[in-house]
Amino acid sequence: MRLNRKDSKFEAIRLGQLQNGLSYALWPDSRDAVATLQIWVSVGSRDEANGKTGLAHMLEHLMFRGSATVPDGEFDRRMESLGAQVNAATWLDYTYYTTTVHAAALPEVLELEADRFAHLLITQEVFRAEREVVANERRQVVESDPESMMMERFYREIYGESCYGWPTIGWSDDIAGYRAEDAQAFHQEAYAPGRLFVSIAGAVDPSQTLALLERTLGGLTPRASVRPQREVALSESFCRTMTLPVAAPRVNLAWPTEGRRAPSFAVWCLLHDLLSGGDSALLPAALEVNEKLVLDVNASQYDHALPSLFEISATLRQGVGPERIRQAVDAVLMKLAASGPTEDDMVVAKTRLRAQDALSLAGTYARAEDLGESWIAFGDPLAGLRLRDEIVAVTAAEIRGLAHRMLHELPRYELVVLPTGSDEEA
Amino acid sequence: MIQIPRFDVALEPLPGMDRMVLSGGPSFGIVSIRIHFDHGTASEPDEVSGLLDVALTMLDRGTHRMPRLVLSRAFERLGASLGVRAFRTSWYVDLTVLEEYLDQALDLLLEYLTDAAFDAEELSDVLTEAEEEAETALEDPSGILARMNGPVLWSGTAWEHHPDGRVETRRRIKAEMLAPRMLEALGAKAVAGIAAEDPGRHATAVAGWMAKLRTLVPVNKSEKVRRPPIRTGAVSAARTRGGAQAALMLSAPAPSSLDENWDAIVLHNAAFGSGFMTPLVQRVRGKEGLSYGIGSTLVPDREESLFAVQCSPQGSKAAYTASVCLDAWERFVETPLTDTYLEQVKSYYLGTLLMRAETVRQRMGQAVQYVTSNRPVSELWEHPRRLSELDAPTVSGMASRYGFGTGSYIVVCALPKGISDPGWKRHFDALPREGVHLRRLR
Repeated sequence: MRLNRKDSKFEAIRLGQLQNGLSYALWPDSRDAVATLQIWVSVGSRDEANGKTGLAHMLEHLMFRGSATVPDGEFDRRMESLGAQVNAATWLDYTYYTTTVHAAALPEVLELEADRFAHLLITQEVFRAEREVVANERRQVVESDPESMMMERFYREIYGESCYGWPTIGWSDDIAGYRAEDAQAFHQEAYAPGRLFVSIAGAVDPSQTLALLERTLGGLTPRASVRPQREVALSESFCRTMTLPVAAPRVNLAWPTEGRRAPSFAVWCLLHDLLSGGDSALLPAALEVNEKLVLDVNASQYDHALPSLFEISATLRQGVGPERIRQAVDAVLMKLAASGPTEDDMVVAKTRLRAQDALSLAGTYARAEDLGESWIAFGDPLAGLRLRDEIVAVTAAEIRGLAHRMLHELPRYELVVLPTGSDEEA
Repeated sequence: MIQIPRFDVALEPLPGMDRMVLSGGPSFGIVSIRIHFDHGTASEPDEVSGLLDVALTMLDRGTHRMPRLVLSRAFERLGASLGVRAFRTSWYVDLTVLEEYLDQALDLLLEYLTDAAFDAEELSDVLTEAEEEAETALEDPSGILARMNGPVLWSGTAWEHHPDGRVETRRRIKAEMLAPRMLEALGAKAVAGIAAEDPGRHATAVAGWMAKLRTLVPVNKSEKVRRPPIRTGAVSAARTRGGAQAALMLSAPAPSSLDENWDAIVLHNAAFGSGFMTPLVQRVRGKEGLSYGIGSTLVPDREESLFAVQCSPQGSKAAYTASVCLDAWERFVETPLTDTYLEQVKSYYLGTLLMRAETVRQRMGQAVQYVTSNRPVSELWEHPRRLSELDAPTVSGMASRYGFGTGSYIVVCALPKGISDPGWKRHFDALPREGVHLRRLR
């Protein structure tokens, strides 16, 4: 597979699949000081069931707590003794494990990775302690953060009981309820080689690294593990209000999108930049600078694999009501729908994206992540790099058409957050 | 043991007291510039603390020639973005730009820094917005904790105030104060950093830019403000707005970053709590699951550094968690390090240093920091080399040499509403409140 780009550095990327079904991409660059290894698993919170929410994330934590051959604490000790910086994350569609290390240590890192993917062992003692850690994480990252509480409610309202409707970290009751055996079974079911993708970026030799991959993760026993088809049920348009201990009211508006695999994704991406890609973009220019309605306003383009979301969120200035924000956002969209972005808006947005793109590829972590996210979302590690070219090709007419759809065709979700004890709450 | 390479980083003098750092490496068509000025908010009179921070915020609000939106659009058209930040003893401006537009971006940057409009109406808006944003920043416990540190650690001194000042002092700021303050800040001696594929190609342009700046604003000789000693034995507590989680910081003074044993002190801290294998993290998170985030840090300062442990336990377990952290610390300083463990710590720590120097931009930022502290850019690889040569008795010896674990701690906590305090009496001898010294009960 080759990139449709002239830049030779992208042509160095090597893609393939091991015999056990594990897919990989190598992005070597001898000028890097380190290498980043990421193992992406096509399992996220969408693969859980009601009553067991948060299990994918819980399993991510437990992956650091020992195997049949590496006792609890040893994984971290051995990784850190190699100078490795390790982390992991779980989201709706995926889980990934990332390690940045000097390239000479990759063989030992891959040995440890292969071991935990093959022989994870969850003891009751470890499970109990780690469940406390996760409960603390939920209280710290979600329950003590109004922004996260708001997003949890928003997703619940939009996706309802379907698989994007529960939080990736899980509901508190579920975290307290599941057992070590649940996590062990989840690992056995989902962490099969065919659902793994390895991306490595940095100062590595491609041939040696491929041989290393075959010797380590290539040893995982292949087994059938088909990701279950999940349906996402989207809500009809709604407008809800909630109260939280915030200092200023928030307004969140969202529209459903077709997700990353749809051809419209590039148009949504450019619209995102036109609306909030810089201080002079359309939303901050109108709402923050000219009308002084908000402390901040942002657009977010979520890249979920199943029907996704495009969101506009704003923190209101004192004395400004939510209705005024709706009007102001609609005015920006109506102008776009009527006359489209100006030529200058288009040129500036594409230049901003080009610069952000270059900055984002500066580190090995970001390059490995780009490949992994693309594999999860598109089934093609290079799709993210191609997307950049697709965005450049987006026309003003396509933006105009999308703005029209947002105003007249797509459902619209609205969540207003008011400070606890505010007059409007009463 | 990890070898940190000799990176492509060099220092060049500029006329006067300014200097320039060149950092080369893969940059994907972007040039990054940092101009670091040796002057910060600690030199501001108490009654107008936050003045520099406001002046820097006002730079975005337009120049005499270009209103706010025209200015931001002019930068964005070049693929350029800006960042400014004030600290207690320094401030900097960052510019990243597509390489082909560097010259135009530098011209704009000069206008941005030296010809700001400082319009009174815009100032009124900035101050109102800042007050509203300050309230928003206190929505979570860690935000509250961040604002509490200054008043607790350096009460009654210029260090007490956060670099963005206080609501009352910001209200006293007038538009006519901003231009003189900006001139004072720009007149401090500076280090210009360039990060690019081939930084030498841009050295002439950046040196020329610095020369233009110095024509407009010559170097002044402002005195460096020295940080006062940390006030120990204090406890400060604040209530959060909601939620169940607390934010907790336990800290103590540490030796100066110029101390002859600084490298050993850095490793001592790393061995206690900077990775998952350390006794602090193993005990608090691994064994008892008391906090998701937990770690110890050493904040360097040439007068007196700060050692701190931060975590976020459940509100009802905050006192117990504080007690466990202190216990872990006291046990750690009493137990000699083994050679094996120290070698593991060194590898981990050198790995973090390597990662922090991964990109050409990160290396430039660190080199600028070294030069500002009157150290050579070779510290990027010499500091790790010296660390790798230290042995276990030397590092362990830091505890007795500097009395680690025997002095007073400072406890700062943001506690949720509705959480009762009996835990504090059970593990300590009093309830946490402003100005009270807590003694830990064994």
